[in-house]
Amino acid sequence: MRRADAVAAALILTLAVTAGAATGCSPEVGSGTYHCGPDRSCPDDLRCDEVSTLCVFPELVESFDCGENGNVHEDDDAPARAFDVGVAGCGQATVQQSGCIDNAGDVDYLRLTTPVGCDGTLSVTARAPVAFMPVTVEIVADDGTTVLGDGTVCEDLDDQGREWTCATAPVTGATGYLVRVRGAGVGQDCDGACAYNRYTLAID
Amino acid sequence: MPRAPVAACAALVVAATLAPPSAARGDGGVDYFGKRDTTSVTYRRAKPRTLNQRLTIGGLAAGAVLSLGVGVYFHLDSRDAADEVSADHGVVGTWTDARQATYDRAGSSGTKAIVGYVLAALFTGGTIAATVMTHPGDEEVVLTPGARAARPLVTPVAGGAVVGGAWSW
Repeated sequence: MRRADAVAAALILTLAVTAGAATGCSPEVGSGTYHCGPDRSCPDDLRCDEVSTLCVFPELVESFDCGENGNVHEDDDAPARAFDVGVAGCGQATVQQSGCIDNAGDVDYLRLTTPVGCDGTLSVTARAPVAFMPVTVEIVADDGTTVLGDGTVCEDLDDQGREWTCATAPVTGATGYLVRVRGAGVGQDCDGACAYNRYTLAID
Repeated sequence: MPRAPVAACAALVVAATLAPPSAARGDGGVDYFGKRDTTSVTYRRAKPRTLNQRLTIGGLAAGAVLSLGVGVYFHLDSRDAADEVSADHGVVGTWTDARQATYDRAGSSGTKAIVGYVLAALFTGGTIAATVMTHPGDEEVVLTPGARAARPLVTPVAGGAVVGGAWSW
């Protein structure tokens, strides 16, 4: 029947055009084009590679590890076993130190000594991927208990998918101080499934 | 029912040479167009649709236009959102909640666009179907000139004359 054929053809044509037009609107996100977000979040078709912290195809995903030099100073979970970075702070060259919090209860201590004649401010910045458990940093007196400077988020997201946590404290010269790094314990740890993180410390 | 006053006039103009007049008439009084009755004009015209039919077709067409507009709006929104988060090479940033929301918006607006387009297609099909199915056909109309109104028109031209007529109905 000619009339029915014409109606059916018009409908099919319109539906075909519709389907073609609509499928052109899906986001196309390539593997490795985004850093993982909080809680290892990634676009639907991608997964968080815990080594590179990039969103990649699922078959390319590798599990978290602390990296080649990430955990070499363990056991540094107590002030007495703190890793000594030497003289740092107060205008000395910035000391960079990598580390790793490999579980929710892990704590890393570092010891430093301020230069002679330093009466200024000690600054410590920890940079860690937002993909895993946030880390915080504190400046602690040499007794291991008195907190001189609490860490606060000073940049919530840099261009490498990291959050910066900063701590500052007034210090005197030729004195020993401790830097304590640990999990922030504020969620964003994938309900415990990603309660770990790598970090880089900068001590100024 | 009384005739309405003269509403219209149809002029049938015959460009013919009248020398002699019998040349314009065929055998048995058949005129130039092969019609015997030169006092009436017959033609066919489309019947008008009823008000309900016109409202139905208009409503369906309006629905098609509205649905198409909705589809286009969400299609463009979906495209903008998709363009915002799409990336094919290089590291362009971090997958934040805001980007996830944009990604989700691209998908949901795309779905709404499809719904809009499908509705537009259905309304369009309905409009076509309604237009075809309610086609009223046409009817034959015979124009018979009124006695008083019938007027022959003769205009002399070089070598003959132009003959016409006027009717009222």
